[in-house]
Amino acid sequence: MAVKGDFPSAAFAGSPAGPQKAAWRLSRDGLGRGRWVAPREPQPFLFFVLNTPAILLLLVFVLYPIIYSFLLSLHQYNLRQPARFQFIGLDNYISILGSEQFWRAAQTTALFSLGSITLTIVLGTLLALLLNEVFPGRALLRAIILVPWAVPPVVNGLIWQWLLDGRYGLINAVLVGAGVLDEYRSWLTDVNTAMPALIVAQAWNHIPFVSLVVLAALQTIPEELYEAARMDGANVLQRFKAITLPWLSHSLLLVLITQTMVALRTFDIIYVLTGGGPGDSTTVLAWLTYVTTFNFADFGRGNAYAYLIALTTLALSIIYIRLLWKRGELAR
Amino acid sequence: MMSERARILRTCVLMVAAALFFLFMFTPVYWMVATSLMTEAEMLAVPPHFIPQAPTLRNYATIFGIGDPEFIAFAQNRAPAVFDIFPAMINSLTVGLCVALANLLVASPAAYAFSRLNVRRSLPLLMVYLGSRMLPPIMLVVPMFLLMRNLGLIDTPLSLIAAYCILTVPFSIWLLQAYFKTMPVELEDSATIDGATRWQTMRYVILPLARPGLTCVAILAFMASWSEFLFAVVFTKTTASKTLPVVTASFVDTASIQFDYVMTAGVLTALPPFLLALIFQRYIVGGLAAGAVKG
Repeated sequence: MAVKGDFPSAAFAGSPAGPQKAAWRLSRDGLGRGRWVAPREPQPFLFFVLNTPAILLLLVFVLYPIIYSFLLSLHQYNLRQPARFQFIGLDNYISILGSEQFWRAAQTTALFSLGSITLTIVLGTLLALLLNEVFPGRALLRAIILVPWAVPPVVNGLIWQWLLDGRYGLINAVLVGAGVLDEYRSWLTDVNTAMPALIVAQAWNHIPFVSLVVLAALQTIPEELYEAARMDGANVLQRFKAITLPWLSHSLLLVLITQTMVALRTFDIIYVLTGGGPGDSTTVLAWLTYVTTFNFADFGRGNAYAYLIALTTLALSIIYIRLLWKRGELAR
Repeated sequence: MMSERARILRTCVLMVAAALFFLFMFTPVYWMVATSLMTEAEMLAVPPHFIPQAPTLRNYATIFGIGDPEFIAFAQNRAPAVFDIFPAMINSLTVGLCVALANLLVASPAAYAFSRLNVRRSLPLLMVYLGSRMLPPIMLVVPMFLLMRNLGLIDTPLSLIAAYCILTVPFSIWLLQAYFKTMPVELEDSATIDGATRWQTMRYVILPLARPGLTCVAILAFMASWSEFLFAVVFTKTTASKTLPVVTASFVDTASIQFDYVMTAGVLTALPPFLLALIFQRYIVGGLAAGAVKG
């Protein structure tokens, strides 16, 4: 083995004629001094040691729960009737897939997800485009958008419940004051307005994240592209379609993925804002799972619900990843 | 290039849009803070006072048990959960700090291994980490509840610390390995050439350089733990372990309107994440960009 820092002629002379795995390379330090350094050998053992804590955590708190949860979903297991514990195969799944309750909740989940994702991404992108321009007050607005981002979802739900309150709410007061409404309305107990309220509250909380990610991408667009387009006589809309949108597509897809995950798992604000009601108009799958498991103590059925949500998430992830892959975004 | 008139028009349009966004993003938070400064009577005014007429910190004082004993007794009668807020803050703080520390201890070695040890076929493991983050928490919470119950950890902060590690560590590994890859290898090389041992390189070169990345990971883990609700509401039963979001949400279950206290608790729940976001804005935005855009 050659001494580190020496030119490795000895190492080359001694090496067999076969294909070399890794070559010595010239490394420069901050002062520009060049040294030859040994090829970096893979260190599988150290790699394993450094990853052990994370792997253990995963085994105990993810893999075990996943398997255990699946086994439970194959059982009749209600904490209120512990004596009735028995293996029933796929019966939980069959009864869920045959129930109207499940399909209603699936529809509600789709409605909530589509609504909140669209609103969040459209408004978030508009806000990012706005923040990318120069105008008086930009710094203030940039600081302000961090506020909703930092608000915990539970608090978000409580704020909106107070804003939308039927007797003392600020939104009622403003709308009545402006002459839009004749009298105070109870937004959250009205089947027609509970879901839109939930979607607006969700969007309010998540727009800042979308804006920050999109703004970061916007700032990497070279100004020359716009100048060239302007020379060619492209107007604002044409420039947006030809340059901005394609350049943002990667970030927008990533935002779409994260927001889908967020929408499908939303639980906190539903807990405090509508509690799944009125009726079952805001009962999404995550809420139905929670209620089945912890309010009705039906662990078998609850786990089956959880598995169905996980499978939906998995299916969507695969679709998204394929989309990304096709576009060559992930194949690096 | 642009005529003076067009420039003024453009600025006006931008400022109107900015004002609309400002109203939408800021009003809810303003109203929370304003309500927390109101007395019960003023909170129930119709139409509401947009600016509190006699702002008072009495709601905050009551939570910490300070002030007029008669009023405290009245608050105890009206909203007993008010006095759970202070212990819940301590619980939230404990859990958040432990999770942040655990993230650094578990995620940084793993992330370093991914970015520097040249092990081929390490990508699948990274994907497993990432995939575990995509699992909906509602799926993990049921079996974890039973696991924690069997271990006798229900209603202890330890159960929450374990759960939040699972929710945060995979993301931290992902973010940190992307971060380590942006650090020039040459600096470590020259330290090695100058005779530094692996440990010294770690201690004097890598850790100081990686500080922004590590800070970002710790803060995001703390904020996630501080705000989490699903595991908290399932795993905690009493003031021994209830965290701030659980106590704050518990006000809603009761019949009478007590939004003055709800909003006061809301401010206290939102304040730490907000301050962290403000102070470490650059780290967080940079980290999110590295994790979301590049990663």
